Amino acid sequence: MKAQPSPESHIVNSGSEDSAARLHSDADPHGRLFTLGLTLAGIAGLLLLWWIGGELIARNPATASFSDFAPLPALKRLAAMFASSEVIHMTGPSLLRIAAGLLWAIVIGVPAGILIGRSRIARELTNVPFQFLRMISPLAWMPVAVLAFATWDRAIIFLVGVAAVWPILFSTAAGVRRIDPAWLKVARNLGANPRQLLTSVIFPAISQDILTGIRLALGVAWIVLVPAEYLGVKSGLGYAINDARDTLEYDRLAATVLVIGMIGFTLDLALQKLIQRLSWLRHD
Amino acid sequence: MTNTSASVEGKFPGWHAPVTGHVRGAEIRVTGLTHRYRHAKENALQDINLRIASGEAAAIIGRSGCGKSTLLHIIAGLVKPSVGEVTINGLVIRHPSPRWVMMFQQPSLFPWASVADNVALGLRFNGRQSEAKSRVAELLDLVELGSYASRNVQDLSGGQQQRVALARSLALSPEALLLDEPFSALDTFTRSTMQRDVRRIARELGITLVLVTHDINEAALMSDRAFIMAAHPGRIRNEVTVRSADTLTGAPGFEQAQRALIEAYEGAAGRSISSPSTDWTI
Ligand SMILES: Nc1ncnc2c1ncn2[C@@H]1O[C@H](COP(=O)(O)OP(=O)(O)OP(=O)(O)O)[C@@H](O)[C@H]1O
Ligand SMILES: [Mg+2]
Repeated sequence: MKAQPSPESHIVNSGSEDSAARLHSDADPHGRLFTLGLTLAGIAGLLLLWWIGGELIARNPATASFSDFAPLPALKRLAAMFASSEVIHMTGPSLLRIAAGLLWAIVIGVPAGILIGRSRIARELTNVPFQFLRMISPLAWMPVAVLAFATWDRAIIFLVGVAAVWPILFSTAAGVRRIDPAWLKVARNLGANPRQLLTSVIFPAISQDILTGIRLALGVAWIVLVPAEYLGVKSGLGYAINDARDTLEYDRLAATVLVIGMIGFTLDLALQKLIQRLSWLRHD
Repeated sequence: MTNTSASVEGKFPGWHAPVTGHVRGAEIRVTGLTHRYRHAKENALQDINLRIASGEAAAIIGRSGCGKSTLLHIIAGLVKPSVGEVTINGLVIRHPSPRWVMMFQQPSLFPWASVADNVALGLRFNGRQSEAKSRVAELLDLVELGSYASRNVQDLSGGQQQRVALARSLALSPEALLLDEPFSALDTFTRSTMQRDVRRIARELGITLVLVTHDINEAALMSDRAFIMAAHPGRIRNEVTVRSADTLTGAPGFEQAQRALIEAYEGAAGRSISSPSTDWTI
């Protein structure tokens, strides 16, 4: 994570150490091949476990009707779903809900996090209530959400937002507390007004913390989304899972599970790359 | 900005050719200043009175905790005093202003920005971004970092970073530079170069210097006059005229100034006078 920004500890020293480390890994193609090999072996291992599970299910007369859950039928079905653009139809609504929920979480979490990071009063006032609320599974709010919102869609967006707001809020607040007070002093001395302190010091200083919060939030939001879509709605990945179960199409169910995993993985990787690109810290 | 004031020329005979950004240095007066931090048991500063002339280089020396940084922060308008006031050019200081800029032990550059963007910070805060291009190039030349404009500040050495901080401080043509041990984190060689450069630049531009330091040599090298502070509560004990203009380590004027400073310092600290040596630091 981010260290206390003291010039001695990172601005001066780490640059050289870091570039040395980078040079080392660049100059070592065997290391990269090795990493790639291990990654592929890991994926193969997962497929193997899945295949063994499928075999066991198929051989047991009590569970044989679920045998389409195995890799081969599932992957075949997945290819068909991609070809018929069923994948797009089923993920589009889910992605929209995630985006809306995350947006709300950012709009509420970032300013609240800055306030809590900056003001001791706000921090102490909200500490217990927020830690308490954070520990409640967003899904526990489901009945409340259903009552409070006019449409199923909005209820789901609310649940996603409730799940996503905490990581963003706490990560932002932690980032603000790590801001070097000297940066603010320098900026004030050079004539920065409060708005400029925010845009020229606080936001750039905590940009990575916000993005890290969003990355964590995306993880929980994605996990909450599927069960939330078991509610009322007739679209999205959660609905697709439920629907496949009801129609006993276990190959479709397994293929949908694959889609959920792949999209979650891709979104997380994209955010991780974005954080790396925007990062101004020279070590980590 | 090319205000060739008589006082500067009088002070430094042979001074010609105004450098761009030449200003009339701030005249700083501190009157009846007493300061106590919240929850503190004693005053950090007690009844401070001093006057620093336009274009003068004043050093403030004294042992750790005697209130040097507090005094400088109050002069900069970054801390509000409990009693008394600071005026600069007759104006009572209530807020920080880019017309009197503080420099700290750490350069505290913004690590997410390039050298040029760091130097242009003050211009941007004051709606003068349009001047940045020419002004930044000029300032980077002044601190001999002309070819570093687009580099990230994290790639620079400690001394180079402190030069960027100096350029950043000079961007808005301040009338005073308030330096809080700005070279103490640098190695000896870099430090002496910086001491000479800051003194030269301040003199060329007519900027008033207030230098807080632990280092007697630094005070002897860089200042015209030194205030010696004593602690508990922080107050000014003594004042020594140094007149450092063009003194070099080893020159007779330097040693004389050094001896006078050590005597005054030890007097304030309540110690007996020891024999001075050339690398006498506290
Ligand atoms: N923010 C603060 N709150 C309370 N007391 C403070 C604060 N800052 C400084 N002090 C106290 O005020 C006194 C003067 O501190 P100051 O930092 O001005 O000393 P200094 O002469 O700059 O010391 P040094 O040479 O170590 O930098 C000290 O006793 C210190 O403990
Ligand atoms: Mg100090």
